[in-house]
Amino acid sequence: MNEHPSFLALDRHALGASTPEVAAHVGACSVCRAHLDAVSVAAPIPPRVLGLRPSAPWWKQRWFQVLLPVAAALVMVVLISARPADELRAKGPPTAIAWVKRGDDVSQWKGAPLTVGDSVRFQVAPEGLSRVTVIDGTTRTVLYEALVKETTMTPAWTLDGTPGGDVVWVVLSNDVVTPAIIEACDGVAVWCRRFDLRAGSR
Amino acid sequence: MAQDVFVRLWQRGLSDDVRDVTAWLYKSATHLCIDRLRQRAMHQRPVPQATVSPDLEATTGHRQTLQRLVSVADADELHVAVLSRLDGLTQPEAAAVLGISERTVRRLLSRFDERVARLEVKS
Repeated sequence: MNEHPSFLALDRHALGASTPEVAAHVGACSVCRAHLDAVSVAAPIPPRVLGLRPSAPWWKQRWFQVLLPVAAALVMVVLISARPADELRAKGPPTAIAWVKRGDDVSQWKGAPLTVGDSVRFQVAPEGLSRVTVIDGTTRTVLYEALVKETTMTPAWTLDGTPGGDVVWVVLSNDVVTPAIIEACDGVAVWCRRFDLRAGSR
Repeated sequence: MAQDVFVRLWQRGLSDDVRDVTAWLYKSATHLCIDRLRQRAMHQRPVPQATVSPDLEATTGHRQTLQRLVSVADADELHVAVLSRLDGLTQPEAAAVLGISERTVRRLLSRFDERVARLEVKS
């Protein structure tokens, strides 16, 4: 090989996926060896990063472990609060649906039971409301909240088989809500949909 | 840019095949860089010649040529040109990374070279 291998070939060589031609060239070429030496040295970590406090991976955090057990039942409720119903109807009611990712396939949740490894996220259409809050129904903790103006996707959560809470509330409102809102949710007139993943129906 | 690429790689999922991962990295990084350059070309003004020192004149000239190319060249041509001319990939390597035939690589490079030649004539 008279010319230098490409950077792609050298990168593959550095990662152990070389070819005899590249290996032979590197053995005889100081320029390419210098490149490999350079890429094999880890870049120094910036001081500002070293000063950051490490956090547990998201899959080890309590909210995640509590949230997503195997064959969990999930109840998703969209709560209409603090605004007259007439105003909401001007654009139609709020909606919330669940999207499930299984492997590389993403589809709207139709009621089939979820299994370990499945990821779920919620798509909400606020329709006049301004805030989405996701609450762990078991621990009564807020998992996610954000201001929303239009159809929005929440973050995704993956079923990991950890036993724990099995109810999630998705609340749409104008005001900040606390987990206590779900205590009253069943007793007030709200628009809601129920998704029961354990039974595989809705 | 590197962070964006590796976040995408993480979301995509790591393959056990180093060749697959490296090909994806080159393709995605090139795609992102070209997108970013095109955004800059849309929103940035050319570097004023009056502010350029003699030492930077050549660099600035190359940069302006690149900005013009990004604005006028086809995205596929730019992908092939970056991989081939900047990263030094062979035509078979570029074809494999982009998932196209070597013949298409040659055709895109030829069109890119013609475009560069026309730009050089104009300038």
